[in-house]
Amino acid sequence: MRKWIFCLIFGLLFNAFSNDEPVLEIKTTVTTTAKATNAYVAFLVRGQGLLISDAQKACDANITAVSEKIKERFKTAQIDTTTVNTGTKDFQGWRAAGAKIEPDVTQLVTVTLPPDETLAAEILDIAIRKGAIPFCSDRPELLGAVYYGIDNTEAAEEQLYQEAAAKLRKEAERLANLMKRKVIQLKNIRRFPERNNSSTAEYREIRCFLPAAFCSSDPNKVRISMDFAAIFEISE
Amino acid sequence: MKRIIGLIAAAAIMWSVGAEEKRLPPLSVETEIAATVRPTHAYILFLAGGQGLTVSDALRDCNQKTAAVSEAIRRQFPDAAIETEIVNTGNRDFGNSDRDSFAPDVTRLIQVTIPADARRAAQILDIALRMGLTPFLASLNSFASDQLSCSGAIFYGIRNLDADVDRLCETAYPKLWKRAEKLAKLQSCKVVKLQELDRYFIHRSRNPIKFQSIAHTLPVDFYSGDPEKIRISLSLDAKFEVMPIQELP
Repeated sequence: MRKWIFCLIFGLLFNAFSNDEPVLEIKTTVTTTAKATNAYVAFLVRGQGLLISDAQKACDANITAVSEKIKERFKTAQIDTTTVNTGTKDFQGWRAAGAKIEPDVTQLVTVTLPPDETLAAEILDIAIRKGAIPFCSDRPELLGAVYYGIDNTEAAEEQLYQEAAAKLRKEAERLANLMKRKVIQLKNIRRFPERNNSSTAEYREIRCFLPAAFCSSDPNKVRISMDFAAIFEISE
Repeated sequence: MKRIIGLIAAAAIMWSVGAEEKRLPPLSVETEIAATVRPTHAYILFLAGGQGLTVSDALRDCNQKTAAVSEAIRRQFPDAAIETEIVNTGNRDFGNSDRDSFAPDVTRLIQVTIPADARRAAQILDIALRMGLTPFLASLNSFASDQLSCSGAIFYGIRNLDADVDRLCETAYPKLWKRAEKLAKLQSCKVVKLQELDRYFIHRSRNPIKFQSIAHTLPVDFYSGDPEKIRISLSLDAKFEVMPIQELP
């Protein structure tokens, strides 16, 4: 009986250690550029008054005026607003105790249009003529007040997945060769979540989150980038 | 006979352990999703500063101003919840001072909570401004990197996020599954089932918010300066069981 217990333990131990195949971990980034499907024009509209309520009314009236003008030029423009200040006029520099409060309400306006540079420029001009402040992002990834983004990245993503698989295998084979081994199979693959900053514009510390995941300042060159990591099993 | 039974038992255990080892590791899929939700409450913040020859006078002045503004707000907005907190009992510029430059000051931070409504919130702040109080003007850099930045003395927050988070997860689930299928295809595998799903918030709004040297913590995790929207970001980590395509029944 002891013999069999010994056999059993040996068998279990052998199994536990015999499956430790050597593996290789490879990381890669795949990138493509695509044409934009939307243009986004961003600007700030402000309203001032004796009281906060007056400033709020003034800001709303200014938004209505600029929206009407934009709609006259392009009927289906989608206009989205976000309040970024309900306080004093100098909201970026106001610090001193006892300084006079100048009631101000500021809203960030984002206009979504088809990706037409001329139309986008005209819309920005309409806003400037109506007293709006262009939201000129100073982030290196996204400069200026007109941005371009892609609505649906499905097709581009499909292509990038294939490209990533080929690139990962090629790299795994190259490394395995250096080790005088062979790639047996792809054991695991993962894609890192998008941490791209191309969809956030920033102007004087005010952030504007654009609706598209990938954006650019150029309508023809929206960069889509993905990061992958894979584990390959290689021969002994 | 004993030997045969032992042999079979050992073989069965070895086979089962081997089979377990051959199973593919779960496929990890991560994604980040962001959504905007409607705020439920507005928070209006301002300071009531009291001064006087002595600290006691300053306290009395501060308390009088606080009571007066609270009464004025309650008269017009009976549903407003008013909370006050002393943030300074000392020198007027909140700093250190010697005996000669000491100017007694007592300052209370007043937080008024009402249901999210921009017009009513502005009217409340106006009551405070008319009475000479100082709005608590939080700066832009109070916000985490993935939050809508804003400044001013009116904030909008959401108290119970559970329903919104559940809705957000429901929309993200097909995205995760689709992504898992794409990755599994590259491995010549098929997704069998979801094994594990973890979710967590990427960034809550940065608390406390600051004005001059005063810090204040709003009673909510997410807030913004917009009465219509608060941005929430959620990270989802899922583990899927996968199987080689040829092994599928």
